[in-house]
Amino acid sequence: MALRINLYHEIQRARKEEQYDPLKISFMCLGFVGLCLAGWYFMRLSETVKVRDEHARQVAEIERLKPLSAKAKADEQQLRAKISLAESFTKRIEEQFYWGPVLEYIASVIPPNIQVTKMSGDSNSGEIPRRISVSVEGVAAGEQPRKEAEDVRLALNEVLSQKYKGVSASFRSLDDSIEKVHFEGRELPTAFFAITINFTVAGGVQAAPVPAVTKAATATTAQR
Amino acid sequence: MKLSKPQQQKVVLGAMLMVGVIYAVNEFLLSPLALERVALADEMTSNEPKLSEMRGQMARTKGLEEKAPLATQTLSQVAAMIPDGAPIAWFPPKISDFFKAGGVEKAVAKFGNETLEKDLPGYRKLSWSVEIPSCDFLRFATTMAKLENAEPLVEFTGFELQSNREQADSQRALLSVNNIIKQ
Repeated sequence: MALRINLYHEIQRARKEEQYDPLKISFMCLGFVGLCLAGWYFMRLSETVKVRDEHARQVAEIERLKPLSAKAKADEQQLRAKISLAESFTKRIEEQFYWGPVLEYIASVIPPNIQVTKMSGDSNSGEIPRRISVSVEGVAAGEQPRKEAEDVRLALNEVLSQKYKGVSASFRSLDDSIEKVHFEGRELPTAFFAITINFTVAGGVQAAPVPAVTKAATATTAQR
Repeated sequence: MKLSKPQQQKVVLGAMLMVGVIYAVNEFLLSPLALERVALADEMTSNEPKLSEMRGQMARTKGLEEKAPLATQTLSQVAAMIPDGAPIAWFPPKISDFFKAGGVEKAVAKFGNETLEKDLPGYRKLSWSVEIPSCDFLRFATTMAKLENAEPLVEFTGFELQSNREQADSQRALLSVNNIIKQ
């Protein structure tokens, strides 16, 4: 095996020492760290600027919204009052009780041999649901006048039950009369009756239909 | 590899310089930024409910503004149904005319009392009694029903209908009526 002699070892060593000079390496490290610090600083600065911008936007938004919000608050009170008032009117009108249908139903079940002499109604109970009371007084004529009056009571109960809740029609009085009436060519005995009708109305009843012409139109004029 | 003394001094100096730079950067540059960010973030967090409240307020008002036209229309209709002037001056003739148009010759309205309505601020309720000395049942009932439909602010709270002793085919009627008017 041949021997090889390196005649340049001193030159190479000097080069190596120069290449790995600790001073040079430490300065390179210092520069690198400095660069990293600068990069880090600018990164944090950028984040801070973003936060500043966001904060400035938020403050500007608050300043912009402040007068609008104050105006909206004042408007809200007025609008609420107006809407509440309109709703109260609507509710009141929707819950209003209409006597038209009641009169029509009563008129529809009064036969010609019944004369209604007095009728009254009251819807001013102030309760909810509203309690309505109606009183019907009259004279019933027929072979069996009490039965005629009872038929009217049942008919009133039935016809009003179709429209209203809790209907009760009861006699307040039912008395035979000594008077007789001429009806359809016959002389018939009579009875005085007084019926009280009670029922409840929850509200939202439809508007009153105009009463139709019925035989009840003649009921009050039925002659004795 | 061995460092010479000047080299060692320079390395130590470089290290000290590095420590100084790191300290200075942290103390005078990074810390103020971090403090500022934290302060701004805190302020933004505390502003958020305020901003939400303002936006909520505006949204609520906007929602109400959408409902307002309907309410305005209702109130305009109500206002149109109430004539100007003292009710005693216009209500009795109005009732009288209405019944007269329905074939009931005479209807006399008399003022009863006045009450405030809690749910209708700015309005009051007047109670009237209407007396009809003579009427036909069908005409009376028809006119009453028409009046109920035509005048939503007029409410009949009661009635009494009685046969006239003198005339079997006519009745005497007494009505209790409530009417809403402006204060």
